[in-house]
Amino acid sequence: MTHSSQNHDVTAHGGIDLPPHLVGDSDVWFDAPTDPITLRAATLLSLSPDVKANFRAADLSTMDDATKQKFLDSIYKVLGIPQIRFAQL
Amino acid sequence: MDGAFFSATLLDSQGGLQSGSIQPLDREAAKSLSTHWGTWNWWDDVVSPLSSIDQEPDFHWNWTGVISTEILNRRGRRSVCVRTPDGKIQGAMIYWIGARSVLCPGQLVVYIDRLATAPANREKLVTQARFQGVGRSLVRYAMIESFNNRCDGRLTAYPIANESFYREQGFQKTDEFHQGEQTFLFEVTAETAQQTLRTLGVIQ
Repeated sequence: MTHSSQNHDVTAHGGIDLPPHLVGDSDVWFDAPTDPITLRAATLLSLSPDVKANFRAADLSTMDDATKQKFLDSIYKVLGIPQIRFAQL
Repeated sequence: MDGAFFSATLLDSQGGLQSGSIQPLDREAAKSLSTHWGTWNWWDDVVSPLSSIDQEPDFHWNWTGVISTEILNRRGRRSVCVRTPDGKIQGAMIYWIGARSVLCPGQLVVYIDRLATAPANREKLVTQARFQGVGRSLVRYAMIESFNNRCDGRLTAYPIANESFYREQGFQKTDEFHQGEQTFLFEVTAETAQQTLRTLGVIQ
């Protein structure tokens, strides 16, 4: 697992406060996501030269859904892609 | 929400709204959908079926076997289910990301390979369905997966059991015929899917 000093803090773009263990000056951590929103964000992040995502057990599960949505929205905003929102189907 | 990112909106037999979580379906959980394992399965929930359950097109489906041989370690192939708070699976779906579109040649779709609601939810088998809305939620989930995976929301499926259901979800008939299933392929266009997702508030 690699760490890149080139990574930046997505909170700088998303404008929300996140638990410090999730976002710092290195990587964004996901807990083996299976839902489409997180998986998509993680995949895109992993391809981004600026922000790197790693799959490891320190996760989004500690967030409530509203925070999680804000977090993922901020990622989409950084990457400039359409946002997907949680919904009742 | 109970940890699931997308929830299914279900209507119970009393007309009340219930919520089910949409989750990955693994091999172990899938055993409860098949008669192959000699253990309790969702067919056992229908004690006095109104028609023969072995005439249902999915009665012989071995979900666990399919997941083992056609889903695991296959790129773009996934299985999900709707689970209610009591732990029971109310419906399941297997789909392939990246099949080809018939209505929009050159474009990709999510192909719904298998989709079934629990026998206890089928009006054909029981006097009062336990939950309605399971299949609809799974199709909508497939639209999200399609949108998220460069298929723009497009879906295809062979409606082997209930053509009217698929039409209600926005599918339209194509001219591609499947000899084995003796049915035509149906497809949801990108426009239809994205309109559905906008209405749901999933996309803006």
